[in-house]
Amino acid sequence: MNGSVPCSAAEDAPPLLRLEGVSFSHGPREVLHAISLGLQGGAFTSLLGPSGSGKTTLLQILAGHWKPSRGKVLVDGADATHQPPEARGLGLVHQHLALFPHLTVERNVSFGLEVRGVPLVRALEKARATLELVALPADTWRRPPDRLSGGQRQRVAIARALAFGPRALLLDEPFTALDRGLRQRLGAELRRIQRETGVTTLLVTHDQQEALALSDTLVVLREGRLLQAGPPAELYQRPLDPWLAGFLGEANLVTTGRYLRADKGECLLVRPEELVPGDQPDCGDHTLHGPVREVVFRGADHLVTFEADGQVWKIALTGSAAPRPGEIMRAILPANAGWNVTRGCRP
Amino acid sequence: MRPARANGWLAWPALALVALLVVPSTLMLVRLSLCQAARGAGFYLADSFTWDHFTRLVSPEGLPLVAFTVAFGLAVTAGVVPLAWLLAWPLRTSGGMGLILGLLALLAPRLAGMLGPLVALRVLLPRGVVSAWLAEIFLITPYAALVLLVHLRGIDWTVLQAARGLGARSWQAVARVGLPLAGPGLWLAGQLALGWGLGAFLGPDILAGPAGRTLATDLHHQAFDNSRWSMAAAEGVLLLVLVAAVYLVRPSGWTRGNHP
Amino acid sequence: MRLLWTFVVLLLLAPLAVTLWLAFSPDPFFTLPVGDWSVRWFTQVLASDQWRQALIRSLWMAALSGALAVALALPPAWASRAGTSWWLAVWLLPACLPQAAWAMGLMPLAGALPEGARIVLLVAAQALLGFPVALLLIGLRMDSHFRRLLAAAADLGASPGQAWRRVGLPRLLPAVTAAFLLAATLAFHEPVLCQFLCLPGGETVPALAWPTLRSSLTPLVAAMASLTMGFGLAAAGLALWLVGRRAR
Repeated sequence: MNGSVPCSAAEDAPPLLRLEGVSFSHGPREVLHAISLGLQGGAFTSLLGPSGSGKTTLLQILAGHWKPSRGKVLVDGADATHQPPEARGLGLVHQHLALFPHLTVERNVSFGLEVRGVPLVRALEKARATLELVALPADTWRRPPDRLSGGQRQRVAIARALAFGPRALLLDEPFTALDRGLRQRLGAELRRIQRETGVTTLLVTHDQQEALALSDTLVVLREGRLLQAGPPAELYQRPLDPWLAGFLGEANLVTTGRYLRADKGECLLVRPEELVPGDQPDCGDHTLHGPVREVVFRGADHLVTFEADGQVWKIALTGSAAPRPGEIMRAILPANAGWNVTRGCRP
Repeated sequence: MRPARANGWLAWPALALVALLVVPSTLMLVRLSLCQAARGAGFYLADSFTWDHFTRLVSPEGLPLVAFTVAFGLAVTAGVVPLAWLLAWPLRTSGGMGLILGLLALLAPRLAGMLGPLVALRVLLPRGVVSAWLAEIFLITPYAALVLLVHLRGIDWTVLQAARGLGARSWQAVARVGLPLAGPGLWLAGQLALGWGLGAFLGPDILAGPAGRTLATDLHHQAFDNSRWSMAAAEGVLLLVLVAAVYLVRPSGWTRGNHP
Repeated sequence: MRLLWTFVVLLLLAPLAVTLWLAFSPDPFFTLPVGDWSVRWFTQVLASDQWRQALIRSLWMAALSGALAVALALPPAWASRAGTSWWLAVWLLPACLPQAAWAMGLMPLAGALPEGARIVLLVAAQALLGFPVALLLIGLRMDSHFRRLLAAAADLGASPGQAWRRVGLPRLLPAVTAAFLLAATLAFHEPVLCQFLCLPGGETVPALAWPTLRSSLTPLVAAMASLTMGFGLAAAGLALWLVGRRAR
């Protein structure tokens, strides 16, 4: 399915960046298939998908480093399909950062201004202002990149891409090499910077939590095709595809007839946190009880897998108490819980 | 299994052979150069000492030979380094069979030996200094290109893409990012070319004739044609000093990009 | 850029093609054969005692040099005494010395030795020229993954001998073979050391060809040069294939 990102209520302006029917083949293999996508100005969009789904390819096409086999790339309404990267005015943060090792931090950041003919003094002033924006300590500015920590190098890469005032900021899995805590901190920093500057941002990531937490809009790719696009909550609660439901988080995909709604959708998606532990149902609710198969401690909760009514269920239990495997789990499926997934459920 | 670095003594046999073949020969060369020449049998007059041979090398009689050797070496370097760049640059990101074939093509002129190309150059080119210069460029370029390639392959070349993404044109990206990063490799290739250019023997001997005599060819001439072994040794010592000076100079503060 | 690269490579390969072409000349002087091709010079080379002996001598001396280079390279490669600046400078020293000066310095030593020992000296010196290449190839193969495989064999109960025999040597063999071939090729083609150190009648092919190259050039030398080129390229091609096979 090809999806267009819906315009937000406040903006009727055309998208700043637009892909129309973009395909890309590598030899006989089609990496991207007829992608049509628009990125609104000022929004933070995440491009999410598993490894090999074509995210980086799509980013490289947007940035101008690769040409699509078919389709068009439009930047600010103008056809940029055959424009070289240096003419598109987009700031790209590479996966491995690609900081210039022979230049200091501030010269790295001023590079985009210098090649545009900005005098060095002014370029350095702007670079320093951008380094302050990304909260990099001033005592690091005269160092070469290899004398910085991983998190500091990330900040330099972001500053470098921002300093010359790009039309949009494109980030290719910039936090891959970092530990979880640092990823979360830097992700939050990135969001702060994006809000302060208002720069249109596209983040490529395979981390679902990161994408759900940071984005105004989420776009999901699978095997080179655009699966669904929209606000993160919409994709999480109302995915159009059972694979997507499972990709974004733990999911119960119910195919048993009596749980399905009156509109006879193919399967019902129920998130583990929607099930309620207990055996006091209200009118219309369903009761579930059966033996526990597995209990996984996830820090904030326990994910309990149990069998009921010929179906395997997962429920998220907060608090310290959790049943043990073999014990009977009792839970309630509220009447209004779940979302009908209308395709792809049948084996 | 014991950590390998604890077994440093394993390097001693190779180290001993290098020392055995380099140190005594160098000392012998120095000794020979400071002795008076023997007339007739023997390499030198034992218990004699003279600076005459070195004095002659820096005199108006000997200086043209030294100056020509240095100029020849520099000229060879000026020819080798740009060619080495042309050969190494496209292979910096090659992989798999492309790299294997590229290396084979690059090294084939040297792996085929020196005899083959020198026969052709001897037939095709007229005798003269320029022909000798071309022959040495031919012989040295593959190795210089290999040294440069090893350096270039240690660099993460997405930096060029990053430069273009920041607004640099292709030539700006190469000039402001590519060349500075390649600098240490170019320096090494240049050192190699100059070191071998100074010691050039094959090209000048076969192709240059008497007008293009270098220290190395004059060394051979003094030893085998004139039996002036001490003079030849002095030229050898001077060559070693010149080449050592080339290899010992290294600019500080160069950086290179690392692979992720 | 690729076009320019191809042009430069062809320019560097052109003399090899010309020599091969000249070797098929039907005339006793240098003409590029067009139409008439003759193998008379190859026949003469192989029929000539002097050239044949020089070729055989070159081959076994090269084999000995290659074997010595590999034997010298194995211990420091295992001890990781290859890659640091100082060690690299030591190993590259013989190759970086001006060959004429180094050979000149070896002459008094060679002169004091009987012929057999003199040949050993020459083989050892030639081995040192190929040694850095052997060390590089074998050192690359003895990487951390290689050491982990040996450790894994030990964990499974293999003695050091068994681990080397069943795991280490099979894995190392392509690199060792490639190292031997490349070091032997470099020794085979080495022309300067033998100029200074070989006795008359004991020359290698390059040293025997030298006076002819300087003065009275004939297609016979082109034929011999073609044979040596063929040997060198075949050995080096095989070595690179062995190395490339492992890279895939």
